[in-house]
Amino acid sequence: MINLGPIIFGLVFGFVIGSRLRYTEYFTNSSLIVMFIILVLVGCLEGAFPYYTDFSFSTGFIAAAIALVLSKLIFGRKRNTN
Amino acid sequence: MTNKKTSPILKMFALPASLIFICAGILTILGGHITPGGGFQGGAMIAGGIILCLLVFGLDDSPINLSENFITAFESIGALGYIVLGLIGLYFGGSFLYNVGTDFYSIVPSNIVNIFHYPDVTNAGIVPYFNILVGLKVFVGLTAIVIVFLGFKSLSEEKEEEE
Repeated sequence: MINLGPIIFGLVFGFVIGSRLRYTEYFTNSSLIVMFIILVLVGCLEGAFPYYTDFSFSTGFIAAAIALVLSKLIFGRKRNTN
Repeated sequence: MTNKKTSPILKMFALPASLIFICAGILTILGGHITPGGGFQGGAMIAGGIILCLLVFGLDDSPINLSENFITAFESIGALGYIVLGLIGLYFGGSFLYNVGTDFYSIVPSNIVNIFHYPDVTNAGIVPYFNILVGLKVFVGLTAIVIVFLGFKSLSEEKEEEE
């Protein structure tokens, strides 16, 4: 059985925090892709968590990673020009 | 305040590490009702990730930037949401913070139970929602403290330069 709780609320939390990300000298679109790959790798290596029967990867972690990247691309701000 | 003394290696490492901390914190919050962890611990982990970025990049150049309105809004959502869930328990169950999502004593209408039932197999009711609200409040609150301290530091440095 698929547990929707961590997926839904992982996406919500990720969207909340990802909307506050902004580009800097060391943080560009290409580095965002690399970070996403790293996050997905970490989520897969973490194993099935918090429920141990639905998927072989950590659903909450990967949902949060997807939402962080997506909300950065949708809502994220530009570089600080001050 | 911009932190120009930090080395570029540290700056390149800080953001990926903080994103991993943030995702792990979210995971800790979401598994809080069945595994060790919960709202406070997960919120502190998320705040740790954001604080790492603030310390390495400085207040002005941090890639994760929480505005005053954002902090105020999520502190309020966390606190008010907790109270509202408690009051819903008081209204339907007769006691403050009654678990209307699980309804052990079968005193809550079934449509209300269905609304507050967390979608997983553990039948945890409203406990995960409390974890989420506490997590929101803690991550924003702990980060706000560090932002204030960094602001005070930059003010005192400006004063010293003037003197």
